[in-house]
Amino acid sequence: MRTSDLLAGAALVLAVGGLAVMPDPPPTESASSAAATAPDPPVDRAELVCSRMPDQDADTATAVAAAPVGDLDLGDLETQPVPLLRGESELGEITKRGQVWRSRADGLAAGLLARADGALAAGLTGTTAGTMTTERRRGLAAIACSTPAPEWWFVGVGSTAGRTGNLVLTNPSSGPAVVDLTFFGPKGELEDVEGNQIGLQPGEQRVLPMNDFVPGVSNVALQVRTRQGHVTAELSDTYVEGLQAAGVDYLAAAAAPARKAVVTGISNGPGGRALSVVNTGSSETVVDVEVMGGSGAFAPTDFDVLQVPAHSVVLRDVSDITGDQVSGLRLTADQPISASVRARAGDPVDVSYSAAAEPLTTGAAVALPEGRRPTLVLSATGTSAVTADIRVYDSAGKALGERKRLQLSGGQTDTWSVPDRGDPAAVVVTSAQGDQLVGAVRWTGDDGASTTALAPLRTVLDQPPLVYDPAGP
Amino acid sequence: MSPSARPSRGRRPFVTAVIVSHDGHRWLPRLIESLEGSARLPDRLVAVDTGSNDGSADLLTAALGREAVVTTNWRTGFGAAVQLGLDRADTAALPDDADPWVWVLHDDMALDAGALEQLLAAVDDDPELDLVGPKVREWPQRKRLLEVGLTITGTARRDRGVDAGEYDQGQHDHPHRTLAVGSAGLLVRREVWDRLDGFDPAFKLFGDDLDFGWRAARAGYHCAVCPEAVVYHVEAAARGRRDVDVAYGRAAQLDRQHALFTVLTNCHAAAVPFAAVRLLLGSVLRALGMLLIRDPVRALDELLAVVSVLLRPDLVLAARARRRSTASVPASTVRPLLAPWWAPYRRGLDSVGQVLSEGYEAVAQRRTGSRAVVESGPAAEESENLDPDSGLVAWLVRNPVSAVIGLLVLVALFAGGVDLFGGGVLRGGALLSAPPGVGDWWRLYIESWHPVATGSDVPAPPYVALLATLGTLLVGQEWLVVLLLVGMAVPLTTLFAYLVSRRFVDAWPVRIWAAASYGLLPVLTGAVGQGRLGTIAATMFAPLGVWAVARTVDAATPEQRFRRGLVAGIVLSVVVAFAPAAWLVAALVVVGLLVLVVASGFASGPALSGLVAVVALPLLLLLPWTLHLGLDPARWLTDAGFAGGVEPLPTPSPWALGLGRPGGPADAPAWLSIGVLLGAVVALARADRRRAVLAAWGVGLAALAVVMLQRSEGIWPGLTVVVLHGAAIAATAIGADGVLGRLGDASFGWRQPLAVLVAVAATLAPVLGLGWWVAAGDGLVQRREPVDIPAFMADGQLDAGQPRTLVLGTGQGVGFGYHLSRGPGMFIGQDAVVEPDTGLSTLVGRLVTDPSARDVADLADAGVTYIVLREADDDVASAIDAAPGVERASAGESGAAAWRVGLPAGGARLVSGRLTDAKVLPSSAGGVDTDIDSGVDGGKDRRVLLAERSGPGWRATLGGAELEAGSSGEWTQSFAVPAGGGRLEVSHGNGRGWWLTGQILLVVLAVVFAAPSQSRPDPRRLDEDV
Repeated sequence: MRTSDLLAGAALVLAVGGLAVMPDPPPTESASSAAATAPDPPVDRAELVCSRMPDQDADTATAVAAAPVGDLDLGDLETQPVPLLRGESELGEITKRGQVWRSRADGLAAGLLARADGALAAGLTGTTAGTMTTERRRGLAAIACSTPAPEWWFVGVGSTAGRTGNLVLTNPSSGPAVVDLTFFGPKGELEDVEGNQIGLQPGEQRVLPMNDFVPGVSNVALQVRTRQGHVTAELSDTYVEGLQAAGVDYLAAAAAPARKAVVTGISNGPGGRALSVVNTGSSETVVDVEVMGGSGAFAPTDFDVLQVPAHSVVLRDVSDITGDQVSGLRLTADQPISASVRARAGDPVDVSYSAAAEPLTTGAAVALPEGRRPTLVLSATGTSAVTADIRVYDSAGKALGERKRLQLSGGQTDTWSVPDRGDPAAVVVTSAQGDQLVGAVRWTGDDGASTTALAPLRTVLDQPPLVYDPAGP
Repeated sequence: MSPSARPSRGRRPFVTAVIVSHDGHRWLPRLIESLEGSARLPDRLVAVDTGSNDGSADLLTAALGREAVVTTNWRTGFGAAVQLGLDRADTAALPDDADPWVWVLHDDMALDAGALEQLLAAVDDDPELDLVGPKVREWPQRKRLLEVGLTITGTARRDRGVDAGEYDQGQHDHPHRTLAVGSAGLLVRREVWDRLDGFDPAFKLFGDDLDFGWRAARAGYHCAVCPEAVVYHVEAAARGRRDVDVAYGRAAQLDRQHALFTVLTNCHAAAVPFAAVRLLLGSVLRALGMLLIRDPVRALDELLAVVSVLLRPDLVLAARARRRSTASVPASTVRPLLAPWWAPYRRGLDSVGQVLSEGYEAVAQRRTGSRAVVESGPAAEESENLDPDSGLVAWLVRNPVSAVIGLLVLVALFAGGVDLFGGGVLRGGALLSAPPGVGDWWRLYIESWHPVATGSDVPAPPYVALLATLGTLLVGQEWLVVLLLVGMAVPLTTLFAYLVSRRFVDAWPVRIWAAASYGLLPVLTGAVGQGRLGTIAATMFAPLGVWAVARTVDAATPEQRFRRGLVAGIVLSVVVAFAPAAWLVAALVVVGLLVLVVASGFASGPALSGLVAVVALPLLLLLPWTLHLGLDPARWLTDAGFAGGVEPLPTPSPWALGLGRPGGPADAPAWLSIGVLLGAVVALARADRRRAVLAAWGVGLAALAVVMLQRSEGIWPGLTVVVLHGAAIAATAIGADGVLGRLGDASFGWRQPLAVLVAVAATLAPVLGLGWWVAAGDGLVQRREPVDIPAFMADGQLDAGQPRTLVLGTGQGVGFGYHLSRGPGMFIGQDAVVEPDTGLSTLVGRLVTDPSARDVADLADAGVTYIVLREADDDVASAIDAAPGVERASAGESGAAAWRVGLPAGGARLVSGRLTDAKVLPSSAGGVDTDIDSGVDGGKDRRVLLAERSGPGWRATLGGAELEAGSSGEWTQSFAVPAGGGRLEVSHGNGRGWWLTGQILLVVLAVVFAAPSQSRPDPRRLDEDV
């Protein structure tokens, strides 16, 4: 064969061979997809506000924990001590992960502020529980310490005879803050309420009685929107019947309106339970209500259709469908909704609120004030099974006992009480299906009952995938 | 002895003729013959042979006798040889009444019969004469004038009294005084010769006669030319027809050198410095002029001559001293004999006028030529009134290429997916907008610090300079550059491909098919849709590169190969500037050829060295960018263009790649071009064009290898797929060239149906490609608004403080986009110099989630005064709302939100103490240049903070004193400023100016040496006369 024939054959073979052994490209990584799959950066700054009690004579116990965060990548953040401040004075500090700081304050009613900067900011959480025993206020009120957020929702606020609601706004930062208040009533948004541009100086805490804004209205939803700066908001509710104190609790902030709202931790036992639903959408909606009980979710029979007009709240008695077990309510609609349930039970009667909860995608942690052993209520919000792991730690961060694993089927609500063993200071809940898990914490005792939200742990910054884009739109 | 005491009255002239010979046997017989035929014979005749190797000495001895011939060595100069001859002649005594004269003769001249007679008659008529010279005509035609008297201009140009090539029609036939006469036929009084010591020994050859005449004039002697005496001179040494051994250097250089020497040694003493400067400048200018007319050798002669003279002032001074001893009349006497001051410029103006008139004639001739065709031949009157066969169809038939290109232009204008008309700027995908002006492209290329985002000092890629050149050529219409390159990409590419195809393929239908297939490559139309400027430009110019390289391989002589190799290197540099992957393909091709040569002993080694040079030239011409590309494969493999503008594309399968589909939003189905691949494979079967087809396959395989490399790195393979497919088209075209004839000859078998099948499939390729191009519709490149920030912020950026704006939320649907705006949006080319700034991206990440006071201070460090959120995003808006020290500002457009940063911020700030007290200094892209006051409190801890990234190239001075740079590890550049006021200057420099100068020099040299030089036939090969 001539050389050129050989070469021609070689060329063909090389071409086919080259195409056949073409290497695979690396997994497509554009800037945006790389950014989207890049892990969110850890939180490196946190201000935790632990509220004052509505009554300065309350017997208050507070716990603040730098909860264990598992294998969260903290990068090169330094572990700096977290001071706990009341006004100008430092009450203590947290110096390592897992440590729980606890204190009891008799008669003092100022709240405290934990300012974290560094590796300990991720997973900072706290709880304040206060027992009130005065004539005007009686009961147990517990609330999780809160970090500043751009928006707060309180559903089921009211101000009538026998009910006093107070909104406490705190500005923990070093700059001024401005908030706007928006109220939604049974017949739409309340336009003529002067709730705009409420200003707060650095470090200021203001108490705003609901009576000043919505006097005589029994059921509204309140949106607190931060226009500038950092603000935390808490709403406390005190009930009296005649001259008798009839319960006190904090109305936990509800999750932002969405097409699905899940309220859990609704206590069992006799007493009234009222559901308040707000529809922030632009058209009326019908809300599907399902009860999430111990054996799964079911649609209650004999339950009237729940219709909520646009920008309005509706109050519905759900005592019949809840109450025989600790349960949750799963609400779905085609407009964004949020909800809360108020339960009044016990003897003497105390009130506790459960609000629409956020899924525990990053897990959750509860700091336990001294002597308190609450009950965790967990609900699986979807249709598939959820596994939740619960661990208990002492105040030095050492694990107490074995890990507890709860298996929940779709729609099921289950409870677990912190065992009376050792000195539990923190409870950590983790789940691989955290986006389908919500929870609440029930605090019960001789002094009353209270339900606090089980909020997802704040460990990472929710950063959108950043793309350097000089070309513009 | 005073010249006035001439003992000539009553004395009879006694002429001693001296012939100086050096390798002159070709012409000596003629000289001797003419001497013997003279009307007046010289009284004595001697010949001096200076070391001839061709038997001239024997010839002379045979003709004149041994005593009359002096032989000496080759180192003897002309004047010294004449002196030797005179010494030999002096051995015989002179008659008493002799009036001795010397007649100097060259070996390459012939005499008119009455030459000596006429010369002596002239002396007789004018007894004051001491030097007489004849009229010199050229040999062998003897019709044109060479010289009628000699003088010299102020620029040391020899003025021979006639224009070059002038025919002798008696126009110079009047005897007149001159400064000098040439040594060929010079008749000079013996005493003058002795007095002046003959020719200056510093002149071994060339220019000795001029100097002699000038010295004689300064000594008070008189010189004239006698036009009745005619001699014919070959001027062998001057014209390169014989080697110049006696002195070191080329004839032209020596001639020039001696002329310069003559001027410097003989001019007025006071004029020497002025003359030296004038001669130096003049020589340099002439050298440049030589380069411009592509005669580098003569340019070198000029420079060497002037340098040799000016570097030896001692020789000049010694010569001047010698002349002082013989000079007796003032220099002003001599001045009328020198050429007028305007003489050198007249020649120059003449040449310019000649060039212009020739050019005009060439143009006029073309016009008349075309008409002449129509009117040639006799024709009846009636027929001349017939309309020529006009009409669209006839025109189409005559010009199918123009029809195809015209169709493509129409499609590009109206249906090409790129909106060429309308307002706004053309951008989108990988195409950024054109700059506000062509000057911005130039500035981008030249500046050492790029004011884009947080700044960078990455060397600008050379394609920016190419775009700027194109823009300058298009009279500064930068938008036209983009329009032509992107909008008219397909027709222009088809045109270039067609022009180039002429070299490889004969049949015009095949050429049109090949050009259309190449221009309508789905890769190209896809690249147009995505705005990939690098791929588009490289595809457009790649055919020219192939053409240039093919020419290089086909060159006949080494000199031609070198020149063509330079051209190919320059064209390849243009392609590589737009798509560096092309260099990898070219390098692979050369390596493959090397392997073939080594393996098979092909006798094409010289051609290969040319190709290696072709591949090396782009690396040199495109410095320092090629250094910056370094060893990073991603940079070498990516075509120019803003890669971030196009989202990652679904990876095509290897077979789709083979069929020319690189993947992309506007990607065509793979089977479109199956015909081309079939044709390329079938073309291999054709044995007679095998070599060319294999060459095309080789290039395609090289491109395939680079495509594999790109795929393994995840880079979009634009140009390489074009080359891959272009090689297939070339192979098919070569295989199809003239195939009809061969098929017709062969007996009917499997060949014919196969050929038909392949032909049909291949012809479908460009047609389907055209259809796809139209059907693909609008791509990513569209007309959009240029400025993307509210007008009042855009205006604010024109202010001296140079504040920046952080623009957020601009992602084209994929992710959250951001950028730092300093003014007009980023334009083409700036994307290549922007480096990823992790500091900025971290800052933006914190800003949109949980900003703190420190983050706001970092914003001020980056010079940000305004934050703009383009698309409504509540989470981000609330996060920014929560930032301390940031307050809302009016956005100026609906749906957008804006904030103002509370700290003073700008391009440069003077800080001493609290950031809130910082003073914004006026700054510009290149730095700071302003006065500052002395600081309060003694100015301790004063710093100037630049909103530019820190780097080693920054320099700052306060009142001339260098300032210390801030601590490393800081994200932006700062300098410590001492107390005291003064002028603060901050600037950046990294040697870019030197790189640019070197690059310009290289490019100019390459272009100059690549252009064909003035062809000068080797004079030694000229046929002799008669």
